[in-house]
Amino acid sequence: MEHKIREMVRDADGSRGELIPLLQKVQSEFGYISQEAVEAIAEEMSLSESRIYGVATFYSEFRLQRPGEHRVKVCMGTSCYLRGGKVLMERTVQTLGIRPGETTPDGKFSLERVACVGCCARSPVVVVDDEVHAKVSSSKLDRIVKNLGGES
Amino acid sequence: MEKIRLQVDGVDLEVEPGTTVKEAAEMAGVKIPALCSHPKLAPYGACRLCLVKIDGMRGYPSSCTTPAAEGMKVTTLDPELQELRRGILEMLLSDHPNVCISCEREGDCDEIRAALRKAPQPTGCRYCPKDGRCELQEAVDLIGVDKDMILPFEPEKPDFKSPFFDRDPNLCILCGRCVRICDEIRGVGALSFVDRGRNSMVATAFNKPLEELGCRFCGACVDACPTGSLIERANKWAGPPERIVTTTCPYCSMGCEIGLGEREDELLRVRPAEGSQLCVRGRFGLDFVSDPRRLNRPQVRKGGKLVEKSWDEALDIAADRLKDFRGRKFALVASPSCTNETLYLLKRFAEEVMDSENVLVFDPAVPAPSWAEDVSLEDVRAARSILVVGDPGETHPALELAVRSAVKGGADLLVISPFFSSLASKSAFWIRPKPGTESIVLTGLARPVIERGLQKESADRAENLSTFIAQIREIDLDEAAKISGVSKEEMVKADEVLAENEPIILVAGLSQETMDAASNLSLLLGRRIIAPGVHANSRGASDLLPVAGDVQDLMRAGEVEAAYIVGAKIPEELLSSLKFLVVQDLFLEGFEDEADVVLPAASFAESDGCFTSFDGRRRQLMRAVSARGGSKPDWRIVAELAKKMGGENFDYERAEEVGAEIDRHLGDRKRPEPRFVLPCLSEPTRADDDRPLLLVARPWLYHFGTGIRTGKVPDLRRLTKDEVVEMNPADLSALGVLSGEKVVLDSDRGRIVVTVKADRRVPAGTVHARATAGMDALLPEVFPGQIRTCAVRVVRSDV
Repeated sequence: MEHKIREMVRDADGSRGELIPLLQKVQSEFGYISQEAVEAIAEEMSLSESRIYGVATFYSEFRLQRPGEHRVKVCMGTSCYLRGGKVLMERTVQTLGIRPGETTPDGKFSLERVACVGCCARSPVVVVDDEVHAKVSSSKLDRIVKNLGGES
Repeated sequence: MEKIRLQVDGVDLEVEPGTTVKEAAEMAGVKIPALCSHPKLAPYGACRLCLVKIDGMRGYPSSCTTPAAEGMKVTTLDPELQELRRGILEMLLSDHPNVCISCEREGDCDEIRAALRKAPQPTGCRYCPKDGRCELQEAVDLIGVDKDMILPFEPEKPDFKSPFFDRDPNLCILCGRCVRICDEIRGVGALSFVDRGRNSMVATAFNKPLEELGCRFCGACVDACPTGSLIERANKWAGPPERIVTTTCPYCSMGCEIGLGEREDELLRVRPAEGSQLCVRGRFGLDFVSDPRRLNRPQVRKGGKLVEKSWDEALDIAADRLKDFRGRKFALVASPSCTNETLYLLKRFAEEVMDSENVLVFDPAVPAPSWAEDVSLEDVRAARSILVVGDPGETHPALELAVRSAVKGGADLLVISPFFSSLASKSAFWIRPKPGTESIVLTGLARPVIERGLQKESADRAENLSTFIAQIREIDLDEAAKISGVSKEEMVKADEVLAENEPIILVAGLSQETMDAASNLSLLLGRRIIAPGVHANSRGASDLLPVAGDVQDLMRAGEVEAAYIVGAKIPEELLSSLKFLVVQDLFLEGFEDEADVVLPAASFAESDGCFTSFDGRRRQLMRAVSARGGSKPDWRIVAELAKKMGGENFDYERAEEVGAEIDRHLGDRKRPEPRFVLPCLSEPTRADDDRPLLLVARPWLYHFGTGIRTGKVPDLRRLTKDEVVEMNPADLSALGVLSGEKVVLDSDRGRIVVTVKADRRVPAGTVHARATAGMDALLPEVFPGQIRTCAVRVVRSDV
């Protein structure tokens, strides 16, 4: 992975403005921005690790933890929120034992909070991996998690 | 350029173009509150406290980011501005403990301190180490806030684990001074703003410890912090000092001015001089002054043991015994950390009282050629082209900083160094020769200069020019490229960059051959060369005590029977033939069994006098605290001993009297004519079949000289306690060793066990180490302070 990242940096033109596109590339390749990735970028670009970490934590787009095998995204957009999104989020936090942005210790699930996936008519919505689950209730959520091998 | 005229609060002013409105106001004596601006940093405009009104401008521009312009009319203070500032200040205070500001008993708190100390978190004035020195408090005084507002805040966990200083996010107002100074001025960037919105804070990548992020603990962030968020741990709760005594840092030869904060005859903390920067040694490395192991009373050996005596008795015994060793049998050994006053009196003592020419100054530095003109730090900052040989970041941090500032101003920087360094990584042109072949590259660089006629006129008047040119023309560049691993093309290109301007050549911590090759190149390219000494007064020592003959050889040959060693440590083998030894120092380390008379010396903080820094400038030492225990300043002890032995004209009341005598004595120094040193391309230390790797031990910021002074600083000991060496991953896997494992290093002098780490930046075939006391067992006995190399074998420690 380190090698690959170094190649990516060398392909970029090396100016400071390249940092964000580079972080995006690293994330789409590896799913997240790891500590090793930050170290490699810092060395190749002569930037400080803290600087890169600062940029990566500023944008909610960037993940700094390895995503789980299954990515659970609970919609908290206005429509979903009003129709129970908040309750769904609390339920998911409870079921998986992690907070948004975290990954379960077994690496199976990661939880994200999203703001509108574009199907408000079918709210509340939970997106698991790339599948949209509409009109989700707490029990439906439990079933989804269970089908993917989670305990609940 | 023409001056700009403007009006601030009705006062007419003339300022230089480029001055900000805030700076202009300060010139008129108007203090505008501000928390994020800092004299050393680029305008930032984050805190919004310095808002002003300017006629004809919309809104309320921040005065720290607005340049003064012709005809401006500025209002810095009116109820409307104060109201705006108050709103901002209250928001800042809403996320900051503010009892120190809102408490109705503010000012009486000394009486209730004891009780409040039990509270678990920084909730109030007595809980802030910066109370009384806090810029936020100052802003509140200037602006005034509604004291009824008691706002809760959510405490964060402070970091108390870093060496030297604590980081408490609760006291942080996110002004960004620490982040900016670490990045803009020091070029490290260990700290950064992390996260966003109300979660944002100053932190490190992945919360790593600072030492893993290139932090060199210079303390610039601590000094820039307006609140108590970043604060040194030592004497954290001691409050402000009574006075600040400006003196000179006792470590390297840069002559940095330091302010010693003193109260009740104790050193509280160190401040850099106004607007300047220090390194970890000057900022946090002065614990040796108050170390309990300091020598307190004179001692004399009696029946094999050292027993305490009065000054009078001890000096009588020393004087009485030394009388028998006049002439060649006596040697004086002085440290280049002694003041000019001490060195001058020592010289007089040796010549007039002991009738001896044997004076040895124990200095590891290879000095710049004697023809070299002085180049100052200001010259370096203003340079347009700089060639750095070695790594001044470890030996002379102030010089590294000056180079960095020149590069920021657009100077070309070339670095010749086999190893990674902070300057090398910033350099557009980093030449990486094989270790020990720096002199070959430098000599190689001379050839294209001559062939293409790039040399400056200054070269024509130097001695040896024609012979030098003839010899250089015979150098086989292909051969030089082969030995050094630096290609011919690279050398030619480096020359082109260098010859464009008159480069300053900077040599730090390298051998005599490297120095010679560098001075030849500098003669060709405009004669500007710096080779700073290792110790605070290396320059003064070489001005005052030009070394006569080789005293070390005499000592080794057993011709010297008595010695007087002042502040220096020397190899044991030189002591073996001595019949009588007087040691004068802060610590006895190294002479516990050899010293016959021990004279306790006062430290730099307890003495007056002068150092001469690397640029030939006089740097004043000012006494900040009285001499610890029964110690006395070095110069005074020497004078007293001289008088006991019948020396004449050793009656001095104060150090200045000695200083005045030195001035009369020294007069103007005449520089010899410049001359080329004929190149000798000696082969560097090579690894052999038996010991196939080359160990290179470089000087280390955290371990100065013999490490006696830096070793008294607990956090410096912590940073240096693990013996770690680095090797190229390819070499490691060839040995079947994993990064982090223990290995045995074996040289022809000895063997030690160390931890080895993989590092891609280390060239294959080398073992990269820091010169610490442990490494001395392996390395040839050269003075610490230079890069030292030897061939080694590396074996897994379990085999």
